[in-house]
Amino acid sequence: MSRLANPSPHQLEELVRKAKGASHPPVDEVLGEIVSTNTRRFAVAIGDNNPIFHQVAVARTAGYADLLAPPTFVTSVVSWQAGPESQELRADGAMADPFLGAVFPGLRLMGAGQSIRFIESPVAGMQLRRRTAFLDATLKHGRSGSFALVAVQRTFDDERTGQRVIDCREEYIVR
Amino acid sequence: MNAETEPAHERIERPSMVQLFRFSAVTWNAHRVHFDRDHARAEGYPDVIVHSHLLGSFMGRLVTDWLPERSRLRELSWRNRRPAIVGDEIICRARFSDSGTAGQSRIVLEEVSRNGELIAEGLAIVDQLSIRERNPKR
Repeated sequence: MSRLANPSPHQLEELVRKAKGASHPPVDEVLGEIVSTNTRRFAVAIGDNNPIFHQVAVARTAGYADLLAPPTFVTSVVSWQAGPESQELRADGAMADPFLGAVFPGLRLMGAGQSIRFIESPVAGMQLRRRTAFLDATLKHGRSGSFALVAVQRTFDDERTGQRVIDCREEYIVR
Repeated sequence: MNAETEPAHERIERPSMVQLFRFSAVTWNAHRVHFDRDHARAEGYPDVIVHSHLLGSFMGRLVTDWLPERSRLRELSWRNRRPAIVGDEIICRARFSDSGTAGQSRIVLEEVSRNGELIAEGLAIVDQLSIRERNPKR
């Protein structure tokens, strides 16, 4: 497999300019239920055996309504439903995100971090809805060349109560 | 609170190929840089890279492991500074910082390589705790 070509700084600058100037309507999705098997598997995958993430009784004793999800569970799951067919994914396997895919087609992506604010603690049984909104794109120059830093806001609300559960600003490196 | 006199907490993570696979599976993330060595190399990495979200999860674990069960995590943020590669030793550190807003405490987080290179840095905000409560549970 040949090494992927980097876009020129000028091409990146042009894409950033287009991204900033374009209209990006927010995307609303019904995510469904936080399922305890999935949160437990997530805890196992990150190597976390804290009983608060595995035993309902321990979570309830600590004051939660049900099994607590690890703090990064809700904002790490890429697709909550069945997800797209494999052939609908990008060539690199990533989801064709409405902002990143359409605005920066074919470019390399890497997660750059998140800022998560917990208004409510995510627990098993909660039904969530997610809104994703484009925030900004900025051209940067790093050690290994130019890249775009793209920020999106994801908000997660409880379907039953309408209450906000989590606010998350997520950033991606695109190059 | 005085950051210099507060206890710090540290864990070493060494994410394996199996761990990266399971994290990709449970988050339904098919991005090939996390499981396809040839693809990762084609993108210029020496091997498959650790998910940004897994690096953040290591920080989350560091905090929730450290705090008493009845405390609450209010905010968690991190920024990746350089890619971590499968098999890398990642030293995850937390230390209490100065007081946050009323009733809350700040925990400064960082992940560094064996060579001391910064992989990610972060911050957690938790309900303020008394000194007696700030002991690792396990």
